[in-house]
Amino acid sequence: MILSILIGLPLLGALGVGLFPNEKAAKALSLAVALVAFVFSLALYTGFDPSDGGFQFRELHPLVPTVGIQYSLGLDGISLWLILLTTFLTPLVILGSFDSIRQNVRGFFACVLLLESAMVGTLASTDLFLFYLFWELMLIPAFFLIGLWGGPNRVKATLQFVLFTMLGSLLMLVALLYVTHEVKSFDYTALFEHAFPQDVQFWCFLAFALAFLIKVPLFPFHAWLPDAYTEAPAGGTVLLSAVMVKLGAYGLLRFCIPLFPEAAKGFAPWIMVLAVAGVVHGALMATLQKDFKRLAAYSSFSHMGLIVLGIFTFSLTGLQGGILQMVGHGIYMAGLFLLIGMLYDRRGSHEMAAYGGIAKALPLLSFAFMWMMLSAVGLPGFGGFSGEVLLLISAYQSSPLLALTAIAGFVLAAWYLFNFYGRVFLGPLPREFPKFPDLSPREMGAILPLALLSLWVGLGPNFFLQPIEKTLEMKVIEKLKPPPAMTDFAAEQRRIQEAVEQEKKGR
Amino acid sequence: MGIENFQYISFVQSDWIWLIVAAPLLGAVLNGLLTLASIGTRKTVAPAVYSTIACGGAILSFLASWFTFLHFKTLPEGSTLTQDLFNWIEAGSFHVRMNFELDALSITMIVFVTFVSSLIHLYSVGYMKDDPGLGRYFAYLNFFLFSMLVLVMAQNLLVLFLGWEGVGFCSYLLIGFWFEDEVKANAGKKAIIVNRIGDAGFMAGLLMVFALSGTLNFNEILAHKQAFNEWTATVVCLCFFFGAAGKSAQIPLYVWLPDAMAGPTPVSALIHAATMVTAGIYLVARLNFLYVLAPWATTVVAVVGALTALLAATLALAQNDIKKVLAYSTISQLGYMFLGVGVSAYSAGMFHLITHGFFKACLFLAAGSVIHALQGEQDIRKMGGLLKHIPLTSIGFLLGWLAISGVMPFCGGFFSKDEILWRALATPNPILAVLPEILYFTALFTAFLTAFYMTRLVVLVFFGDYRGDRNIYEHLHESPRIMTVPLLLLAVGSLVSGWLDVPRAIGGGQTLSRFLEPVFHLSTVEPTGVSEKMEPLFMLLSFLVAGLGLGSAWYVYGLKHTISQLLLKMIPGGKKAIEKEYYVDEIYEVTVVRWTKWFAHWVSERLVEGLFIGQLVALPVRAAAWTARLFQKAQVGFVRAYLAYVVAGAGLLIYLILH
Repeated sequence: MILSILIGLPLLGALGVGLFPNEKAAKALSLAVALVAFVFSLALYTGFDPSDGGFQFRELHPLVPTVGIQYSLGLDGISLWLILLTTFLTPLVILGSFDSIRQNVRGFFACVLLLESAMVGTLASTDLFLFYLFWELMLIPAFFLIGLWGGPNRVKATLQFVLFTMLGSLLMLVALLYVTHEVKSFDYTALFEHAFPQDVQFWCFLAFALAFLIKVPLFPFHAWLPDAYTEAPAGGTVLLSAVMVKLGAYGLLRFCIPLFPEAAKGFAPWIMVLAVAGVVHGALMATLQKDFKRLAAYSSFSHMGLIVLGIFTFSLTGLQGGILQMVGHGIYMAGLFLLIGMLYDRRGSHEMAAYGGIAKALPLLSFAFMWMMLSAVGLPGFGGFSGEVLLLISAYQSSPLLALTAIAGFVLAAWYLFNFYGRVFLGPLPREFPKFPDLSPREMGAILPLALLSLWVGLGPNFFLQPIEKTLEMKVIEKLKPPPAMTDFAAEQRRIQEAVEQEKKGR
Repeated sequence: MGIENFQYISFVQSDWIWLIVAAPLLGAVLNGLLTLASIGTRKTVAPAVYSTIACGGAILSFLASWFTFLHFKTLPEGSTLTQDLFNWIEAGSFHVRMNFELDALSITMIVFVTFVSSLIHLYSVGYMKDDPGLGRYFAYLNFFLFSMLVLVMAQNLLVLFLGWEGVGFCSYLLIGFWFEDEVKANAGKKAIIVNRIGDAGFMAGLLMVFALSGTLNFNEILAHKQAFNEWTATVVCLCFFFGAAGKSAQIPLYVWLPDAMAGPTPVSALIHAATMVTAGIYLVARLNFLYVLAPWATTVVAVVGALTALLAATLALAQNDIKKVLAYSTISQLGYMFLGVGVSAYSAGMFHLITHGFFKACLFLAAGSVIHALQGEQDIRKMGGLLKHIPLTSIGFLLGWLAISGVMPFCGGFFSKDEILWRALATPNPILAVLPEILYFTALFTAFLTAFYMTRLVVLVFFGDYRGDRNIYEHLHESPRIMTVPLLLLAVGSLVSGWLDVPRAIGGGQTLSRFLEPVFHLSTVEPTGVSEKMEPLFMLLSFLVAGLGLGSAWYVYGLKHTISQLLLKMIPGGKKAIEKEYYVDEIYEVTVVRWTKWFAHWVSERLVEGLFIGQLVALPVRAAAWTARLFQKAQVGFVRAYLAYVVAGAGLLIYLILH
């Protein structure tokens, strides 16, 4: 029931908020709904059995029996932390956006709740039709979030974002219909147990992966990202960067790799090369930005590349590191984008040139920013490091050259982030700089949980790593092992025969 | 093969050595929270509260370290104290525990670090007492001490890296402590970015070590030593040395340290002279069992060390900022230490690390006291004759000067420097036969320069006539006791630390070397080139060379001041080049920085983002948008048009079906 509650509650909340006449009450209601959803989601952790790699919290109801579509939900190690991350971040986004949204307030909070519902639905679906439904449903609130409450270039940003995502989704839909037709079921487990022939794997992997890799985004499919991140309102950017792009990585782990393992192995070197290209390219682009929201956007993109790199090593270290880093990245990116939003609320600009020396005027905000930034820099003990080191370790074992290249991202991150911090927060305060209030209790309430959690991920990553181990072993690693195949046996026989013939000839 | 096969180490579990790191951490957290609370509530906290918490944290840590040392001495030789705190990261084949291990090397470091650190905490109470950011300052300082202790107590490379990055970050915070000054903020930024470049080497080394040996735990790496062949060991060691060169300010990454003097002077004393910058030497010493496998890498370490020592010493000759002279001197002395560990004389390197820590901290604190007395003046051209005005400070500085110049036997740097010099000559190099001689004479010449520039500094600051502002002169005063006492204690330390390791050749006990023996016994290359009996002779030689440096500087700057002007004019452009610090910053600016920017701009932004992504990847999206617009145009709103579409469509369908 919990998964249904987590999908249904925000959905109902969205409707309620939309219908509420009073804006203030609508804000309070949306916060309350998101908080209740978070409390419910905690039961997912307490009730989760780490020794069971299969789906837990199952819910199964026939939806369209004639074609085999089911309302089928489930949770395993791959989706556990991402669902919790979603339910954890949503109330913080709502709290953080209380004062920054001034127009059409009820619509905004309804969209945020709708997005939460769709994201949880995407993560919890174990029926492919349902999954696709939620996957596309996400696009609607995201579209409005950027398009209605975004910055000056929001139209172009929205168009790019929607078109890119749709393009990937359509290809995935074709592949999805094909594979479900083959298996005669939309059920994930049925697909999981089915072994597809090589050529089917090749094309279907490509179609699925394209949708997910555009979402992540993998280099060079990131054309939509800088504009979308920059133009979206702070709360929207948080949901995009912290959760939504993770769904791309989730899709790779859930569908691409286990359903089409042979193709995944074939494509892995290419994807890894592109991932590292993204790490370096994103970091280099970040060094050039004068708009710091855009800088953070490129930084986020650069760090996502490392996650894809780790996942495609197909080692337990890389996979666990990938999921850990999704949590870590989600937390620090949420913190950074929320704080960037708070700066914007005060000064009304994302240009570095509009700031300078504000650590003097806003010490608490500056301290909070440094704290979240240290995660992004990858300082050991903070959230960004523990995942990063696992990803690099695993990457080095499959390709030393790629891992060593990816270290460039680690160096450049310090370069662009400390430069940015120096320009915006340090130095003399410009004389004409208006007086702004420091963090309000509400804003602290939005940042503090993120700051503490970031430290937790950095110092106690095992809490996050341990429950997902079994699932990854069972559902990903196991599938990638070469089958104890007849082909090997046949080859062996052939070899024996050849040897015998050679011997005969020799005689 | 597990660690149990390695019989030399016996582990003794201890359940209280975490206290050594916990005390400063608690101090940092308390002071940090107090500062945040005082900002939030706009109430000020009494400076005494901050100071008590911070000094308490440091002193408790020192006491805990001292008791650990006493306990350690009762254990049989070769044992180590370990404490396993918790399982830090575990994923797949990667396991790292948060654990500490104290062997003779770590014990030496923690006692030294906490002792110097406690004194500098006390000194800071006086030096920073009027600063509004006192709470922040002490929180950073305590956090630095915590990180440094984590660094030296780590049992594995990842925990060491935690401390390594922690000290680097604290250094950033403290260099840019007065962040409203853009120059100071930028100095901090430079330090952390240059250090990060070095850390890339550390990270690469860490990845390689794990890939080769499957572990990051020092004992287990040692047990899996056979996993490294000469070449892999060389690559790994060079990677780590690159990291060490960043932290310990060696060529090519030393450029951040002179700028780091922007921080408060006690910080320069603690972090940029006595402790943090020695982390690189500690790292090489800690990984001695890998370096011994890689003669190429140790040769590089020794050569870079010697070159850095020489280069920095020449730069120190003509600096006019009192702290900058000391900064270049630090770089130069760190070069000596690398020369020491590079010729596998690990205990000699560690010995110099400790003596240098004492006398350089003492020199910096005295310099801080001079700056304090002169109300912030740092230019030595505006000093002079301070001996009679601030006698206690002067005594401290003079003792430090004697120690660093190596002119006074049995005092500070004399034996430690000499040991390194002699070992550089006596250790044959398997790659280049004449290298020992080259290294020896480079180091000897550097010793001459060291005595020369330090004497110049002393003469210009403490002797002669006062050349600065009269107003300041009127208010010249000795610093309060909270500053002079730690300073004089360090001066005493620089005197007696020379006794720690008196060479056997002149009947000494070599206490430190014997204490460190269990750590280095597998990697120490016994000197074979020159007999140990010759050592006193070399000692005499370096004594004479240092005396010559001292004497000539005294003559030039103290007696015949005009000669100093002549000397500098002798080399055309030499003075300018030294003042501009050999244009190294400028060279890096036009090469590394500009190339990276160029690459980012032309390749990433223009070529990839603009052309490739903007035109090619966006093509399907454009096509979709274009098609959409086409269909949009078709929606003209006239019934007859739609009718025409229907007819055309139907016609097409009929045509298709008929075929």
